[in-house]
Amino acid sequence: MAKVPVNGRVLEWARQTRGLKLAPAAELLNISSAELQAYESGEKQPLIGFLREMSRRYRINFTSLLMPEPLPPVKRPTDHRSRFSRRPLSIDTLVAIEEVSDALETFADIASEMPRIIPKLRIGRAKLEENPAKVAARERVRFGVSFAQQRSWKGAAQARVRWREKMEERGVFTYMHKLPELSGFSILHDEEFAAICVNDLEPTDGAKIFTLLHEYCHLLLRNAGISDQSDRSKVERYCNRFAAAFLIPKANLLEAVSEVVPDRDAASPYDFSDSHVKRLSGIFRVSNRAMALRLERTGLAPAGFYGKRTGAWDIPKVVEPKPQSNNKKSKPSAINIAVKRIGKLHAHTVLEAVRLNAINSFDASELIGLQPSTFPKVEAQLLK
Amino acid sequence: MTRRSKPTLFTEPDAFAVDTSSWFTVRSLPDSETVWRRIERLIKDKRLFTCPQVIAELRGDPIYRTHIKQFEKALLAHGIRATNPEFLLAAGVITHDYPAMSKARSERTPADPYIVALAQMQEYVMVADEGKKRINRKILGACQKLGIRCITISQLMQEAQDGETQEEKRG
Repeated sequence: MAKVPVNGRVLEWARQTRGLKLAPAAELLNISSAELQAYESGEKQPLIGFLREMSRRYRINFTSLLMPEPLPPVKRPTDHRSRFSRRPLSIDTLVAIEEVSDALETFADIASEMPRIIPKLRIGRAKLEENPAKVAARERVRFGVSFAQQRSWKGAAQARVRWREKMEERGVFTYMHKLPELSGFSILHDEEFAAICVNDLEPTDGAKIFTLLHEYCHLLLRNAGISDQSDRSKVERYCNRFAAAFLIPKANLLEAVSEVVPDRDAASPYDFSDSHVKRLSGIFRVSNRAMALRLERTGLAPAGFYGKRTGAWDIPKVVEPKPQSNNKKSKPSAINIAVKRIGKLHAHTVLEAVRLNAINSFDASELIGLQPSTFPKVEAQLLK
Repeated sequence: MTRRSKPTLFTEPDAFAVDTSSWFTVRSLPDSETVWRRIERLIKDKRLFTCPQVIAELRGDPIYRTHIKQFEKALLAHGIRATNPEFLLAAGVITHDYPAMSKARSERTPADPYIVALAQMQEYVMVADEGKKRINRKILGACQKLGIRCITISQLMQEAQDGETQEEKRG
C-alpha cells in the first residue's frame, strides 16, 4: 500500500479537533506516542491504510486527513459547565455536536429549496432579568399540557416521550446521545432552526425530562450551549429554575403536597423526607432532584433543602452490570434505537424530504443512520 | 486546466463525471427508459464516469442492482485508481477549500470531494443535481470556483439528445 505525503500538522489538527492529547490518541491508534509524534511532525509518512484507521478511530472524515493545511478552529457552542472542573469534551460529545449541527445545516439547505418541508421554529423568548417561574408559566400555556394530562402519563418513561413530542411540535429537533461529561446541549442556527440534545447516559427518565426543559430555557434565552446544570453558573441556575417551575407548577405542587403530607403545618417550611420527595416526583413524572429544587424555591421546604437532599444523591452508586439477555424481544430494535436517538421530528422531516425529492436516499440514510430499505419500517414506527 | 465547453462539430465530445445526486435524480425524470438508454450509450462511448466512492454511496439503493452494477467496471475505467496518492491529495485540497461541501469536521466521508477531484484531474464536465441555493455547500459552488462546467442530469440528457440529432443529420 502506498505512502501518502500528508501534512503532519493536519494530523495534529484532526487529533485536536477530537479533543485528544497525544498519549491517549496514540493509545487509540495502537502506536507509541513517539510514532504519532513522528507522523505529526512530518518525520514519518503514513500508509493509506494507517490513515483510514486514523479516520475510523478519530471518527473524522478521511479526506480531511489529506488536506494540505489544517482548517481554522471552529467556534464550539458556549460551555456553561462548572462542575467537575469542566472535564474536556470527549470524542462522543464532539461527534454528537458535529452531527446535530450538521443536521441543522442540512435542514437549512432543504429549507432554502423547499421551505414547507422544514417545520417553523415556534418558541418564545426570555431574559435573565425575568422571573423564571413566570417565564415557565407562560411557556407551559404555550405547550398546552394540563397537570391532569401530565399525571395521566404512565410513568417517567412515557412522560419523556410525551414532553419530547410537545417540544418537537414547537419545531425544536431533539436528540439523545451518550454524552459522558455533560447533561445536554442546545444549538440555535440562525434563529431559524434549533436542536436540543439530551445525555442518554443520565440515570433516570426524570433527569432526561429535566434536561430537555433546561435546554429549552437556553433556547428561550437565545443563549444555547453545553450544560451541566450546575447552580454555580448564573445561566445554568436560571435554566434549572425554569425547568423545575415548568414541570412542577406551584398551584399543582401545593395540591400534591397536601395529598402526600396532609398533616403538614402550611405556615412554615417543611423538611420533606427522601420518600416524600420520591412520591411527589412520581406524581409529576420528574426527577427527585427537580422536585427537591422546586420544593425549596417555592418556600415549601427550608432554605438549603436542595443542597442537603441532593448532596447524598450525588454520591455515585456502584451499579452491578445487568446480565445480558438472549431474549430477542427484550432488546429494542435498530429502528427504535435510531428513532430514539434522532427524534421523531428529525426522522419525519428526512423521510418527507426524500419523498419530495429534496434529498436522495443515500443522504437520508446518513441522516437517519439506517439503510434506505428500512425507511418503511421507520415510517411505521413514527405513526405509532 | 482548461475549461470544457459545450461540444461543437469540431471539438472532441465532452466526457462527464456523475455525482451520487444525479444517479438518484434519473429515477424522477420522465421517460426513464430513454434516459437509461442514453446513459448506457454514453458509458459505452467512454464518456460517462464516476468514482468508487459514489458507487459505494449507491450500493444500498435498488438503483445499484438494476442499473449501475452491470456498468461498474466501465464507469470506473477512467484510469485513476482509488488509492492513487495524487487523486487522494486532490480530494484533500478540495476538502480544505470547500469544507462545508466535504463535511470536513464530520465523522463521515462523503463522495463529493472525490468526484470533484476526478472531474478536475480528467477535465470532465461535472454532473450534479443538488439544487441551486446555498451553493457554497454544494458541488455546483466548488465547480464554479474551480472553473469546471457543472450541469444537471436533465441538461446532460439534452446534450446527449442534441448529439444524437447531429449524428442523424450527418447520416
